[in-house]
Amino acid sequence: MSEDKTVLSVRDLKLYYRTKKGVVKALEEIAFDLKKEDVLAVVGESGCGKSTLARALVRVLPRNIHTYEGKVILNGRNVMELDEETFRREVRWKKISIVFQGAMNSFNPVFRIGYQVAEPLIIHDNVEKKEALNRARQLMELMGMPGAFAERYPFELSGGMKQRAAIAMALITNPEIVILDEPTSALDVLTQANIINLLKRIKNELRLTYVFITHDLGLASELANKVAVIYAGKMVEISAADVFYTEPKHPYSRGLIASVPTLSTDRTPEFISGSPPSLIDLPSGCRFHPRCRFAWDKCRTEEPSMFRLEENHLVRCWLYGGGK
Amino acid sequence: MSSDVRLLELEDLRKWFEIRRGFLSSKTNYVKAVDGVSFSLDEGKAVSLVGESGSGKTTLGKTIIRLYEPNSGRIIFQGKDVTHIRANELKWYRRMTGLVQQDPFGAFASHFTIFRSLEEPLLIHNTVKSKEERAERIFKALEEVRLTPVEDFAYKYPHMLSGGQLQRVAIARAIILEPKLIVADEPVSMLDASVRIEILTLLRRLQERLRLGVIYITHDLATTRFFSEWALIMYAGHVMEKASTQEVLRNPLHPYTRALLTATPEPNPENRNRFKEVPPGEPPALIDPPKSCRFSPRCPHAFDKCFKEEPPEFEAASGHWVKCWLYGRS
Ligand SMILES: Nc1ncnc2c1ncn2[C@@H]1O[C@H](COP(=O)(O)OP(=O)(O)OP(=O)(O)O)[C@@H](O)[C@H]1O
Ligand SMILES: Nc1ncnc2c1ncn2[C@@H]1O[C@H](COP(=O)(O)OP(=O)(O)O)[C@@H](O)[C@H]1O
Ligand code: SF4
Ligand code: SF4
Ligand SMILES: [Mg+2]
Ligand SMILES: [Mg+2]
Repeated sequence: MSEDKTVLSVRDLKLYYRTKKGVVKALEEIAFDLKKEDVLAVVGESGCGKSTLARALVRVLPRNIHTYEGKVILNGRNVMELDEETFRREVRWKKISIVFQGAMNSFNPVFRIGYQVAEPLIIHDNVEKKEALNRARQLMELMGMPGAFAERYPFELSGGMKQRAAIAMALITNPEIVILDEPTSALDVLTQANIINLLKRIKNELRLTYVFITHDLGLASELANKVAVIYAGKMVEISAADVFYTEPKHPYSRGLIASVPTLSTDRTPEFISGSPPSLIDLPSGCRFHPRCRFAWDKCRTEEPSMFRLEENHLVRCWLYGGGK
Repeated sequence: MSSDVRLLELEDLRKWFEIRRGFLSSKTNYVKAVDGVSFSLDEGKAVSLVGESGSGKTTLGKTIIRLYEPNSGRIIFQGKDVTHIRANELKWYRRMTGLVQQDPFGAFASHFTIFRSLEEPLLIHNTVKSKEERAERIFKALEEVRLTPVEDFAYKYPHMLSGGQLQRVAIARAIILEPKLIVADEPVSMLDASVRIEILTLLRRLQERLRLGVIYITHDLATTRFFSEWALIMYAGHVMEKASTQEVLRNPLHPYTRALLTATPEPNPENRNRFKEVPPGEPPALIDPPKSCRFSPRCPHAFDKCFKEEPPEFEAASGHWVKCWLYGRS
């Protein structure tokens, strides 16, 4: 069960990219709190900023950054204020680690998988190589891989096995928080279900906190006790998973849930017409208004802020606050 | 009312890929990607081919429309044996069939406008002679896939369109020669959930309106129900279960189908409090698959016979076939 200790607070996180065509406003006004053993699912359509959020939290950024600001408060300390050296030594991997999107295809083909899983320990923790390799083997076994696979090269492993290794690598430094960016999205459903089972078990055993990024709302419900929905770079709803799945409020959240085909109900799935806006040239007012069937004049000119419905339930929509 | 007209029949179809182990080795191995598939499809109906990656779905789809030539078995299309046709007959068959592939972004030449891409098949097959008629066909196809106003889309380049829009263009290209059969190979798996349904609904409407046979390849069981009459569950080159989609989903019989159903994620906040009971392991390599039941290494119900003999397809209920010893009478 979650205890009361807040391990991560994010406030006003903003990240813009600089490109030839203009400034890409990939993330704005991101804010959330995570307690120990929480799992926050971050959901939204392709390009809405999910991976940008992941990279911003561990500060693994491309060169073309235009703006990167806000607060990332880890156990009471704002780590945005740390210089790169301190951040690397004390935060990245050690406190917050990450499984990058597409991680299973990012292994170096010329090194054995066990060595690559051990690498964060060898490089960042100066642990002796032999000890690090042992630890890598243990974690790979924890992830349901035969220990002997540590000796293999990436091309000798299936996608599912490589992805397990990528997760083992994120766990090797004993982090408190693990960011999982689409950790199973290229895998088959049976492999996916097996890995999700492992992620659940490991979370309970190691008392981990996850930020779980996915575009699949069904999958999100396998792990999450909190859900944040991002649309065009901004959070539009955040709430407890129990509330979110039974009573989503934001018109976009409702559309997302309605678009998921289910086997257990007779509901015919519906789609959200239109597509998300360019992050270089955002619409005026509410960013969702061109696709929203509830939109009225105000939505087209004024941007809603996050309205609080309950203690832990915030919605960015004029239907829920600000008067008519 | 139109009665059911048989469009396609597959009899024990096999497609094996030859591979050599090292160039000095004289021994040839085969990847048995499609290994004895039979089914039939009526005009204007859709069948889902469901299975994990590597199960042989794409190979089967491409063999059906004769992008591959089968090693054995028969393909009967509109009563005609097309298994080994060549030259002009094959060209005719190309017109009668169409393909929509998974990756919309890789499907179009980047220096061609949408108009030019759609004109290509018309030029190759030379069915529509005049430029005006071709333009008319192209605009009509764009209209069919709801890329309107058509003039706006026709002269755009692929990079200007979203994945969902490009997949509509791919569908327009697949239907432009007025085929009778379309293979849609994971047509929405690279798209967002919010647009998947839009594309599948579009495909479904075209199927009904144009009386198209559709072979819908997917790894997502949940979508089959709304978009196909029939479902075939594939595993390691074999069809493990086939029946109406409703029947497969309501009354799944094969242990593999049941595992797929259990594993398919559904939005439900209670999921986080329980583990899924799914078989461990991974599908076998198709170079040397188990000689008996191909699911036996992973099957929770496997018994002696499963490791010795390959099960045939048993008709467990009327029109419901299962390749599993649990349903054999012996
Ligand atoms: N290095 C970069 N330079 C410029 N723009 C970028 C860069 N990286 C990402 N973007 C843009 O920022 C936006 C958010 O991208 P991001 O990768 O965070 O999306 P995402 O939600 O993770 O998408 P997906 O679901 O496809 O993984 C997109 O519009 C993307 O094109
Ligand atoms: N051209 C080819 N040559 C050799 N093997 C192939 C070829 N195409 C597919 N295969 C193999 O055939 C099997 C089935 O592949 P495929 O039909 O693509 O499955 P699916 O579409 O279900 O993922 C796989 O083992 C794959 O590696
Ligand atoms: S603010 Fe208006 S346009 Fe935006 S989601 Fe709410 S109702 Fe729709
Ligand atoms: S034949 Fe045997 S091993 Fe194969 S699916 Fe049926 S019970 Fe399982
Ligand atoms: Mg991403
Ligand atoms: Mg395929």
